[in-house]
Amino acid sequence: MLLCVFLTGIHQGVCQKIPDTVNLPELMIKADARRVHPPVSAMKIPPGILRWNISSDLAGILNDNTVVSVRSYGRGGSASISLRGTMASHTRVLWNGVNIDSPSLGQSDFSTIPVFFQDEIGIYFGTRSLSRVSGGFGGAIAIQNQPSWNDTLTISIRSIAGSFETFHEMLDIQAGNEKFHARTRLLYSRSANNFPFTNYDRPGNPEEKQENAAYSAIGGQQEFYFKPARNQTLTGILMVQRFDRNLPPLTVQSYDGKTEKQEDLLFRSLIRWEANALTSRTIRVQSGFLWSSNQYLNEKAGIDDRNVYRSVPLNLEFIEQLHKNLTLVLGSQNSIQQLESENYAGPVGHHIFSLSSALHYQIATWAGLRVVLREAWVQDGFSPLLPGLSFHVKPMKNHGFYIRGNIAGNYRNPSVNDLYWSYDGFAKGNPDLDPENGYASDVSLAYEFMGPDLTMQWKLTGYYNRINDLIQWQPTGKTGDTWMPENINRVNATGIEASGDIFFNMGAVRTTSFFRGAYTRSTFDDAAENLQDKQLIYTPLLKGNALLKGEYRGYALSWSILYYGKRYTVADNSRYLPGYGISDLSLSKYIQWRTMELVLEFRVNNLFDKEYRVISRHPMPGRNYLFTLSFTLKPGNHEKNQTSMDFTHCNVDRRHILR
Amino acid sequence: MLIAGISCDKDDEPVEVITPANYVGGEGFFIINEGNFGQANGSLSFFNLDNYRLYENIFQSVNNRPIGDIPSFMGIRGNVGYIVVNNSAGIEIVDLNTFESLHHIGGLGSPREILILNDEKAYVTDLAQSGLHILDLISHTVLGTVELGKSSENIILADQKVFVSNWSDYYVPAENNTVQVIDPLTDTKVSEIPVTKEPNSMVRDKNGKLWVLCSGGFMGEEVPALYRINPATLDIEGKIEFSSSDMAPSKLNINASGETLYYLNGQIFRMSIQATEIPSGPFIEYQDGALYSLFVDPDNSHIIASDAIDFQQPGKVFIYREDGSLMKEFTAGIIPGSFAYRH
Repeated sequence: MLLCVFLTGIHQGVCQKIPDTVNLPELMIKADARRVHPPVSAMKIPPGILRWNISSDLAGILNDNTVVSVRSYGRGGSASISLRGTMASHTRVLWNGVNIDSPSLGQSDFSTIPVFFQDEIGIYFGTRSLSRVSGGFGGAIAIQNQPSWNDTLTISIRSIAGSFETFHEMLDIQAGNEKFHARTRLLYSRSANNFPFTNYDRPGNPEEKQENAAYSAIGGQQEFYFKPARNQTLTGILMVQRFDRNLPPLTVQSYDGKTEKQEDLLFRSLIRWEANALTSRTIRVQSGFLWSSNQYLNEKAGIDDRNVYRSVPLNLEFIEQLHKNLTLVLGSQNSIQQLESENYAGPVGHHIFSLSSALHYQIATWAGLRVVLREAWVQDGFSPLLPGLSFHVKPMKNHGFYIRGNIAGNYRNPSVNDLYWSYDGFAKGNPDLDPENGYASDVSLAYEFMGPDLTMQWKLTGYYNRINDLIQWQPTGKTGDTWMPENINRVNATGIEASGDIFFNMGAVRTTSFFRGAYTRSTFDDAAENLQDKQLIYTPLLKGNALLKGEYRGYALSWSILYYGKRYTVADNSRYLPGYGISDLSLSKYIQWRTMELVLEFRVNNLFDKEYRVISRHPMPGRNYLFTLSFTLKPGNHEKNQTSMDFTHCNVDRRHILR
Repeated sequence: MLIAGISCDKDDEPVEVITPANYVGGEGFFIINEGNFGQANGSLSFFNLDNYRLYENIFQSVNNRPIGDIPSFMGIRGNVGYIVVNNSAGIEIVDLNTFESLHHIGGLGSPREILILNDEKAYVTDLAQSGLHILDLISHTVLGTVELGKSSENIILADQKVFVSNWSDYYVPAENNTVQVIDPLTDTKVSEIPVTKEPNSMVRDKNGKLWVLCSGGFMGEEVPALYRINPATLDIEGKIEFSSSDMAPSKLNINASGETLYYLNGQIFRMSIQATEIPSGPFIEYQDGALYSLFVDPDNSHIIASDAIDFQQPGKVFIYREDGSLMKEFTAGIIPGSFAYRH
């Protein structure tokens, strides 16, 4: 998380030297029919923010920079997210277009996805995710890798040391030319994570240290990009990662020396062929192999539980510009999955095949429509045909006002646990479950302005999501002693999101700032009387972020704020965790000498030492520090080329935020 | 608002906020609400029979901290309560007049129930360890264990002996179809009585006989059965089998006179200690699913039952008169799992 200032420092430091009229390189404007049209209900984390959070995980970067509500068990602990008032299982995660959610649970652990391995992180809210994947009532998080064709050789080493014996080591090597590009990323992180905290859950509120909370991650990612012809790209990606973490006791428990831990092993591979015929047709074919192993060990309880998951995805995509105003996108997503767990009677095979189509029609220069249809076959049955409709209007020709609206049906199939959990005396799956179904809708007003020294966007979105036949585990049977999932409830989620992004230059001073705020009302619609109109647990009514950053002659100072309102912890809202606000401060210095770049950064997290809890009985750290040293060597690059590329990043930053 | 939120505000403790209980003591019964595993949202409620008022979250309200993770049982001796907190591996000792915490005993493994033998000594059963914990109630320390070779669940005193049911084989692999007998003077196991799988609850009748209810195993391995044991001779004097291994009877109780047995099998059943067969139908039929826990008030035989509903929201508690008519219904805490009566 520290590294942020480092890279932004680099790029912005260089950007200041360059006029704003430099053209973007080819890679940033590649032909993709969908990019022709204004994105709807989508947001991309700016590359600068992404690099600034390079040592963070996906949960952390989303928490600090978006309206997404993150439920994390703390540093190194597992984390899930809530998008637009929906539940954790209602957000899909796409890795280079492939859904990587655990089929067992139907959701991802966002703490196991390091930012360092990603080049792009985007959020497709609600309706927007439908053309890529189903089940994302809240939306989808898309993480992507992209080549930098202009790089010759770049070697970056980042070393980060921080409080609580926290260390991150990163090596990033890129090499290539206009036809071939290779990139290797290696990561090692570890933390004793033994931060002090006041234990308000014990008599006398003693000062304690977090115990049995150490974690470590080691992994690598290898990417190859090759252009066999001018209009074709072949991509290969391999990712291996091991994540070990001890699971600390609750604040009401004493650590008895017996280990409780979790080990996640991940292997992902992908091969993709993409061809662009002229600028009006794109074909994309990709496949791969995913393997993951999750092991939970509890010495005290004598539990050693291991789950293994394998998947072979095959995705096809065809984009055709039928007419200058009409673009067709056809896609198919196929996934053959196998799971092994003692919790199932035997290996479970799972097959998902879906077809999607989208038609973009640019009615006029000021208005466009997008129609999406999706149909899926899961295991042994077809899902309902899902329609989606989007529009955008730019009512004033010379002003950047936009009105955008979306509505789409959606459904989510039961997870493998929901269906196949074998009876263990306490619980069993329910093969007769229906998929959850419902729809998502939103309307946005946006204003965008781009001037020589001032760029800004303001956006206001209102949304409504409805989920029927919600799957929930509940006691059943004559004696109520067996838990089974049932389709028993409905969720209504409404809310308002507001955001503003401002980039302002004043001489040699360059400023970047944003704020985001969300009001979320998410309730059960079909609940018992005492639960009617009660907010879903751990779904904050209010969440906000803000960032203010200034840069001057290689120095960068940034201040970020995160705010969460109260979060109810019990279904009848009789208990809640109080709201909190925390802020981080960082100072960095960028130094360039010939082909070498050095960035030093000092960062203070939780500047005001605020005591807070994200999840009840799980402490969070107070004020803590991180120091980053980053060294980059570009032996093959001329200075001019480097600055040009860096400027591109700056400019892309701005454009991405404007989305 | 954002900037206000970042200021140092040490007065706001970052813990769950609850409604104050304003507990005043009196005669009534405590409701031990287990809460959800790993969330430490269990609580203690008290229903005051003097004013028919419910006091919720009394421990946290008085002591400004949660009681722990999974409070599962409460023993009472005089004006002192001993609350077993399962997943916090400890016991909270409270003054019942104020509910202020007096002491805490930790390091118990996975404690389930407590039997207070006298002012100085108590036994605590344990789900995950193969022995009974021996507590010194003067020094509030663990003196040692009575080795059983099995985990232990329900515990009761009869004929100067302590009887322990071996209900689970989950954490301690051993046959879970016995009742073990302990001599409290020597803290040693003296005998073991074989019964049907999963003996879960025991009571003593007016004749001093011990009744043991066995559910037959969570996979329905055996037919559930009810045993009558002579605690003096340790002989099994009677065994009544249920009609099907699909049943899972639990929570055996007895009324104030010691003549009528009550148990749960989804609904509330009762039978005389003279009966030779299991009743064919429930005594109190509960229409909204299955009841979770049962307790019969030892003074006036009020029947107290709970419904944990979906195990996420606060559960319901019902008080029935001895004739089965509903006297009172109210909402308590999350998963009302057991009860303790205060005279």
